[in-house]
Amino acid sequence: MQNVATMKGPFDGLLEAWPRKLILLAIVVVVVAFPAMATELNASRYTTAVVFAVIGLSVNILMGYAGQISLGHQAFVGVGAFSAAYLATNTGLPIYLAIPLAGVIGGAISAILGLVALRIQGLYLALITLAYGAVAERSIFSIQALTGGGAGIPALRPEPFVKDNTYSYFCLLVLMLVLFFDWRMMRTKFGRALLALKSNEQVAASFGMNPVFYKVGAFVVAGIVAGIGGGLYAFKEQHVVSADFTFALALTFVIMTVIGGLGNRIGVVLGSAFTAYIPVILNSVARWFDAQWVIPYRLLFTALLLLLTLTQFPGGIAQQLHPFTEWLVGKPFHLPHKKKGKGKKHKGKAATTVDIADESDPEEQH
Amino acid sequence: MGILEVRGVTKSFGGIVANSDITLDVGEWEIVGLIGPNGAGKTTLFNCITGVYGIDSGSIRFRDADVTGMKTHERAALGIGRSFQNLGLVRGQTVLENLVTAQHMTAGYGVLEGIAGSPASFSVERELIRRADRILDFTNLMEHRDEVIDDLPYGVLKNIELGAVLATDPQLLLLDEPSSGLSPTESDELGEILLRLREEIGVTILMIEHHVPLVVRVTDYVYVLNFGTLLTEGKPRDVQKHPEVIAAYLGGEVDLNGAAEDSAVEEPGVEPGDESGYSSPAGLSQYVPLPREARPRAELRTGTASKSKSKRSRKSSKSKSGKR
Repeated sequence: MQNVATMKGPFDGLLEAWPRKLILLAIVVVVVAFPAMATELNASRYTTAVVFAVIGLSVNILMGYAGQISLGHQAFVGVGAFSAAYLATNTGLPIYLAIPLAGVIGGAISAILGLVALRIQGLYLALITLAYGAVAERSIFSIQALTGGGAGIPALRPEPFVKDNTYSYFCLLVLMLVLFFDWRMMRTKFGRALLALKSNEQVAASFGMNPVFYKVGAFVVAGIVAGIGGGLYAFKEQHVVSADFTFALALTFVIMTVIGGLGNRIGVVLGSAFTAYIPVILNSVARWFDAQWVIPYRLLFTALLLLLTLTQFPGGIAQQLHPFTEWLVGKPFHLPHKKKGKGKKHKGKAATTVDIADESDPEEQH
Repeated sequence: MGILEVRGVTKSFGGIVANSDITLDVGEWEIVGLIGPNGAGKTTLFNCITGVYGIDSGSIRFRDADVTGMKTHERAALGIGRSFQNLGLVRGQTVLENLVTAQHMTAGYGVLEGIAGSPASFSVERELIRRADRILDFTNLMEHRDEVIDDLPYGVLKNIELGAVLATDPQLLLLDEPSSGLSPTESDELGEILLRLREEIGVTILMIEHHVPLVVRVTDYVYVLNFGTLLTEGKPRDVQKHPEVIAAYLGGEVDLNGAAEDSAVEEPGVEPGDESGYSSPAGLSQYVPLPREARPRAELRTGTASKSKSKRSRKSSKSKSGKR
């Protein structure tokens, strides 16, 4: 874990490892215990954040890993949401089955878009996905028999999950499964093929990767995850209306993924959760500073964040937190913008060397 | 019987004929050079051989299988590996990750099996890393193992790319200007690596290359393209003296006798290397170069040492201006 040569005594390593493990444990405890302690309202907000994180991971698979732009993600999410709601309400399927099935349907729908993406790239693909989302919004989501037209359909939660507090644990479990899947995927040939495809399609093909399979595969996997996210969303809202799935929502999905950091799953989860909390934050600001006028400027706030991310931290939250997250998993602490970080080994170490330098300098002057 | 048979390949883009009726053969265990001025259609031919472009007419056979209609990844699976002029590597990854990525076809587990994390897939992944390490050893890149490729100099990246192509387990290696961006010493090392590749791994190489000493040193046979057609072919030293080749490279304004003399005195510039240990593989075709000992190298070196130096430098600057 650490370089043995840098440890001087038996307790040094222990002291260095302690705060790290403590902080890691504290983060896990807060995340896991929060819904149990929180009020129903806070648990509901927390659930939204978790659902957004699942959707963000879906966008990330397409944009961060496979390099395909998707501006129609609200369509996948919407299809998942309506499927889950329809299956639960009209056919009486339990939530455990309705949500995976919503994922399957979402995957099938996005496979169609994947086939389109084989022929079109870049800006034109972005336009196609945008049109796809708009068409889905107007056509599929308006079929009276399936979606209840403008009135929407209910998606009531069964007994153990009636309270938001317990349902948020269900969502958290799904998020963990998706994160695990994401992690496994990127550590095996599928994930490597996606990254190679993003970098250069010809190079990927020369490595023996079938671009058709992996491109459509990326869309299918992203669609499955988006469908699952949509299913979670349906049961979270307990009533799905087609008006929810507008282009603004698709834009939010893309922006939250970029703010989190394309290609970095932890960053994407944090960025998505943060974006889900933006209305809450703005409401609090409005209340504390008695400034009700800030509330309508939610999108402006998001846009400013996006601008800051693109100009200052292209890697998003993941880039800003990189030194810290690396340190948390036991790697040396490097500050960003340092060339070939050879200097600082650990937070603690760095502090001690600075102390010594401060002490020795005045002595030399005397 | 050749490992690669290109027969009458024609490829045009709109009105521009990039390759016109090109026929070439690459025999088992040969190192064949493909030279010609910029825009001659060399890379286009590579793209036709690897299947990036479909061809208008003609046929391409690889190991007696017609690959003309196959996709790039299918040809890669048959054993055609290639490097790129603008680096066939995955940005943002470390050297090791790139070499593991390149072993896509070696990773024999199914996609779902890998994601589920079967024990077999784990052992395959470990094996991939072991193989990547062996390739790093072979190409002398161990020191860069865990560095992100974006931070590395171009010359090193060229070598990493060669390693990545090797990782795909090719039987035929198509190298697109492997020595571009390398210093003279580095390209000497590259020549050594290429010869070792053939000797130790038994790979056949077809390479686009501008660096004449390297071509003369490693290739058994050379094809020259100009304006999309095959200008000439032959042993490297014969081709080098061919008046049409010199004219194609230098624009035809050269005193041909002088140029021929140039190339003759360049011979001593060809490093002897560790050629003594090199023995011709059994399957090598008729184009095996003469044993180095048979060449009257020593006399030339002692006789025209000072003259050759000045002429060589002049020639290299000339040919450079001719190429760009």
